[in-house]
Amino acid sequence: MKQLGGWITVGNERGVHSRIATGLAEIAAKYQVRLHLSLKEETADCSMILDVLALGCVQGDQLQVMVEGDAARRALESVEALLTAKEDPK
Amino acid sequence: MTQKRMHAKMPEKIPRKLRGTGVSPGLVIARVVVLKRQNWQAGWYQLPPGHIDGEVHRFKLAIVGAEAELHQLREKMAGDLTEALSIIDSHLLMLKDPMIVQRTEAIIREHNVNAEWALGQALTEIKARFDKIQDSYIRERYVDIKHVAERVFDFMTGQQSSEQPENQEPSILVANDFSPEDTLRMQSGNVCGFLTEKGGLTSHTAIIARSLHIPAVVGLEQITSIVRDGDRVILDGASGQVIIGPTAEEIEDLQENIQRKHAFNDALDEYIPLSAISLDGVPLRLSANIEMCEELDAVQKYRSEGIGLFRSEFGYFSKASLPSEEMLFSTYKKLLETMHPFPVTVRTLDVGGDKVLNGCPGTTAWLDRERNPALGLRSIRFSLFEQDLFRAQLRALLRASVHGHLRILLPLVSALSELREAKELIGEVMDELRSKGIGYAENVEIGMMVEVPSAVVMADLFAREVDFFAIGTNDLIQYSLAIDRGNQYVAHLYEPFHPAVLRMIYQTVQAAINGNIPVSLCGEMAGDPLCAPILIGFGVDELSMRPSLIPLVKRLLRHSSYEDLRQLSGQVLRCEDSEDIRAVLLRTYDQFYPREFLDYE
Repeated sequence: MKQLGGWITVGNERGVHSRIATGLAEIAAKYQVRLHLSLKEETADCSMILDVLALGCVQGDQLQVMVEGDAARRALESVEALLTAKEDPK
Repeated sequence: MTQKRMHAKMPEKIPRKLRGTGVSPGLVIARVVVLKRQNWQAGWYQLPPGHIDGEVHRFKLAIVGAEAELHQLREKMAGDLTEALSIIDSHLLMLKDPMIVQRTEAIIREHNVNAEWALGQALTEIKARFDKIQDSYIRERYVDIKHVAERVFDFMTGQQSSEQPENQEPSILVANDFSPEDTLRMQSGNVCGFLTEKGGLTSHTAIIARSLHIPAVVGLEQITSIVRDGDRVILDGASGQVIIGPTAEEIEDLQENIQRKHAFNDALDEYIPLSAISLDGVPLRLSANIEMCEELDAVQKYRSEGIGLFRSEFGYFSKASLPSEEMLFSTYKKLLETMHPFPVTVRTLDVGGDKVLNGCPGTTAWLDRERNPALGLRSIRFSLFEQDLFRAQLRALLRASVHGHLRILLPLVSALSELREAKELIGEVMDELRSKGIGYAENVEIGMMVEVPSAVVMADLFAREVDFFAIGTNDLIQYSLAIDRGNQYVAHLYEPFHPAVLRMIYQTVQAAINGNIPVSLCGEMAGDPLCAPILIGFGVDELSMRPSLIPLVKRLLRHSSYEDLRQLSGQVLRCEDSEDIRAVLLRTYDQFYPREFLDYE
């Protein structure tokens, strides 16, 4: 089981809103990984949309990302693309 | 007067005209249907012994019902509503969320209570958590969670389908708030408008109303109590105005207005695919002024042949903190890629120091507050003062330049030394990129705004050192007439047709022609039907304006002979005051163009 982590800065103007949180859950499901985000002291499990929304991440926030799973690398890449993008996911 | 006052003092009747936030443009008149949602009052009752599993099962069935409904709705949606679809997807995820599902189940088991009450309790806990979020946009997503929970609640209490008016006549729906799903369900065609008490520009109701092109006004307090089923209402989704029970006169006005707008827009639409060329074959570039990528759709819709002015400030103020180079880069890249092969002119940061400095407290400039901001540390002066900020913007611009045709525009240049300093800095950034092996386009053009009188006077010398001029008339007028348009006492002296202003524009264009560089004009004058023909006659190469104005100016151009306009502008230059100029223009335009050409929105 691979474990990866990293720091990501939120790029979206409206922060981590419903569509982004939805995207995170989709990544966790697609790559079969456990995906956690931390902002300051709080940590959220990305398979739970409300948990992620409740972090209240805004543009410019530095998030710590932790991924566990065989496809951790690819999942982390997707997460990075999703979170750093300025535009909403298409 | 006295009567009016007395009237005003009378006990207030129900207001007839209301103003909310217009979130989806369009003008309609129709009768309203008021949807009053029953208040969600979940009674509390203790479960009889042995009923806990049954209750949990009842709750889960309701979740399944709500899910199935969302899936159905999702399938019905057309492919181009991706934004709406992803809202539904997020609602589907909420229906699986442990904060709702597991928590409700736990409350049922723990307290031996009915599912409705337990769900309400779980929701209260979620709300408490969301209330702590500082960012208002994300905090307001609680509304979505509530909508989702309400559907589950409906399934438990048996009110499965939210009632929908089945009348034939198109109607305006009024409610406290709609869930996005409600809004989507109403796509059936007999809904021509929405009015709600809650919501804002970014509410999901607003997003979906816009994507369905249904006019909507939100934020109308008490609207569900003010109007009754069957009331006739005029809704203006652009201005946010709502008129209840309009008079015959108001209705007539409205219908005339709608017709005029339609006829006007239809006539203009025909010009969109045509090329921008005069009767005698002289082409002109009509480009767009924009400030964010979201406007690119409009730019393409109106077939703009480039971005004549991208105001880069928005990227700096949309957030509390300053943007990173990466964020700027991705914006510029998108602009350039989308517009390729047309040129994109990006004006470097153009602000009074006060505004941007809020992002860098503690600096010297931040401590010395401006006493005269229009003449102070702004635009290029600010960029040359805060060089790190400027370098980051330049790096982002140059890195993006490989994705299209970039023109860098330096604002408020007032002396040659200033221009040279800025160009030197650009050169340094280029060297830095090259030494790191980062590519940039060789054909990046560097130009300057001509918007300070000293730049006009020196235009012949400036023309030797830049690749293009862009005349910024808004500031040029303010600086040359010494008028602050924001000051109500002198605003009437702000005059685009002041002969001095026209002479300065002419002089700048001449300097550009002699120096063999292109010159554009971006300011309100460019899109003004009265001004544009004169500017064309002066010989500008490009007019840059709000995208929606392009067809209007193109129509004027296609019905003009450049030679006529050249002569007219010569005549105008000999006038002594703005009144004369206006008189000459109106008289001449009558011969050149049909009346409605000078109409405008």
